[in-house]
Amino acid sequence: MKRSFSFILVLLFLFCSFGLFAAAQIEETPGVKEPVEFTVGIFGNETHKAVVRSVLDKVEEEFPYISVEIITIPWGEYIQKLSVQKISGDAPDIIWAADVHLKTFMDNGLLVDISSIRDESDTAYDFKDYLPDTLNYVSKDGKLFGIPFSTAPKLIMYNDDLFKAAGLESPYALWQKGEWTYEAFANAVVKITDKSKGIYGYASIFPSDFLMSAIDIIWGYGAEAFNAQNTKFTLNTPEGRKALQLVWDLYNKYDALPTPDQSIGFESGKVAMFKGSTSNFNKMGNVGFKWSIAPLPEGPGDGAIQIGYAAYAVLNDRHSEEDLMKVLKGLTNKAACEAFSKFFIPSRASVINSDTLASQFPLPKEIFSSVVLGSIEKGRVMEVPNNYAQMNVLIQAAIERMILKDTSVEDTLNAIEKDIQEFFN
Amino acid sequence: MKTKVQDQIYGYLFILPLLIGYLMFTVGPLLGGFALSFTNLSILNKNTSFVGFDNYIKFFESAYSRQVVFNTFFFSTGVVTLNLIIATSLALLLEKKIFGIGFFRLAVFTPILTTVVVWAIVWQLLLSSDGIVNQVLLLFGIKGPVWLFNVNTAMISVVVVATLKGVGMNMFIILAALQNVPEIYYEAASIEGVSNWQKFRYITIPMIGGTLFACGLITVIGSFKSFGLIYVMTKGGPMNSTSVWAYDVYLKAFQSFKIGPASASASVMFLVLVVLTLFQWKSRGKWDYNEN
Repeated sequence: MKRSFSFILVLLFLFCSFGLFAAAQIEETPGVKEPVEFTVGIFGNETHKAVVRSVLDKVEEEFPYISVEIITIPWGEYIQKLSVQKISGDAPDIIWAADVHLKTFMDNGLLVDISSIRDESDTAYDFKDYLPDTLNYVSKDGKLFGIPFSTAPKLIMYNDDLFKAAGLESPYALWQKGEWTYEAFANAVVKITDKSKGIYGYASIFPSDFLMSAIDIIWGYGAEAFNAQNTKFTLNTPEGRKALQLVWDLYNKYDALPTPDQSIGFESGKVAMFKGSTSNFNKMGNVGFKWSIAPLPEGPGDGAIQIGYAAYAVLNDRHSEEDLMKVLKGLTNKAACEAFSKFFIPSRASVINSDTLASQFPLPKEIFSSVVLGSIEKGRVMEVPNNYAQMNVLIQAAIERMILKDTSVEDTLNAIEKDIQEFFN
Repeated sequence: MKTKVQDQIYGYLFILPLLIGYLMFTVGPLLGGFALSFTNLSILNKNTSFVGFDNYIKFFESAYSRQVVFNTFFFSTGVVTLNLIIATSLALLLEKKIFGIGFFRLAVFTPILTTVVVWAIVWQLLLSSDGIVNQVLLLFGIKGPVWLFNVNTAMISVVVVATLKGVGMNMFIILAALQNVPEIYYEAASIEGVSNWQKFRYITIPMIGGTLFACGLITVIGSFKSFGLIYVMTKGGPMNSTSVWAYDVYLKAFQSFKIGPASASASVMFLVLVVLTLFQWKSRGKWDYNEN
């Protein structure tokens, strides 16, 4: 019994020794790299995931020792899950980060500096192809923390049938004549809305995130929600009051906007105008109405246009920089940007200026070029203070009070200014 | 003597796995959360420092916090009262031994098995301005309000929805208690010519008082922890009229990533619940016939 037990032990020892020796040999074999596994976290849907997969397949094909897993996290839980994963050391290596996420992560020093991707000697990747302005939002103190994959400007998607039924000229036609203003916009909202039929002129203002959803109106009137340093609430100005007055009129004077408990999609055909971007176009496949796009209305302000900004950023530096760059470049090279351009407007000049970009969308090329591409140069990312989530609870309450209790614009702005002051101290 | 000590050791050994789990996963986090309430810990920021009672002072000074506490008490009072009344009434009805009663018992219990998010989404649709509830009211010529976006109706709506979600469990517990009341008491009372109301008041209530007390205690604690319904149905609105304590903790911890203030808010809620529970426990003699 003892002898057979000793024999088994010796066998086991020999087996382990052989395994360790073999492993050491593999490590020492020149040219054979250890497998490296990356994870990429995205907030997109299955269609987006399929495109990311196809792009990553090429990376894996070129560098067989690299494998990349995609983790999909719902948009509503994105930042919470990523933050907790980051703290517990379980976060994806590379993430999709939208404007709000980027700022939060960047300000808290959680992103990895990827400045080495600027390497000009890599002509195949051609970093200079990226529009410099679009990199500002992911740059801090001379370092680079992200590569944008979406710089899609916000625009108005409109239901042409509802405009015709109301006897109104389309927003695009008005824009061509230089008459697409916020007055024309409000006029269309009031005329088209017919609550008895469940039809609304506009359904893109949400008290639950008022500043984000109405920032185009705020900028349109030349106002700012916060100062450049995000240390002060600056909407309580004559321009800000005019912007909020428009919203007040639509809610309280004309009762022309859906109540916040209603969720009406543009695809339903019951909404005449919707603030969207190119990523919304692929939902419009089989809708039973004619639709088109127009730029956001013009106001007395400088006409900055809100950008739906998103970028690849790196949360973990557990792998070598060389391998990280291989994956990151694979996700952001020209071919990848072209693959994504059917959802997002990339910030590579060569892709934006190519004929293939416009052909990806179900719209006449001249409309796409004039509205989408024409808006990019006026594009701007909405930046918010660090404590925005807490401020938003109080801003939401004040806007809801304005809607429910007819509180005046002045009182509403005074209340917001007073309520959120503590977060700037 | 030796056997007694041995028995005690065995006893402790048997409960040891549960005790370890309880200490690690309940007491540990509880004490941890309390300790964190004295810091400015943020999920995203590695620099944490001791801030003393700052988080508590800010909590008590904030008008929003006071509204949250008021809302929580309103919500809890509404849910507990409504729940116990409906659960007792349903238990009395469903106690009857008639054909097909099992189906109705199951129907009342089903919401317990439904996840809170699904329950909340369904009710959100039912209560939307053009939802079924308002469509039915319209048949009678009544224009229903925007239930979940009206300061006067939003809280009442979530109280009713929360009650309907949880009433099945209490109904079953009370039903079991009712079935344990000896029939002989009712028979004796009938011989004495006692009315049905008097039977309920002087026999049923004292006999099931202990159960009602337990149900009340569990429901109070459960209602204080309500989060999912509020998160899905109203997000605390309109005008923060439905923002309850657990939702406030969530906002602070997972929207603003401020763990210190969130822990302070949660610690105050815990202390309030302890005080409420002790108060209820002290007054159990009035509820439970057997305690006397």
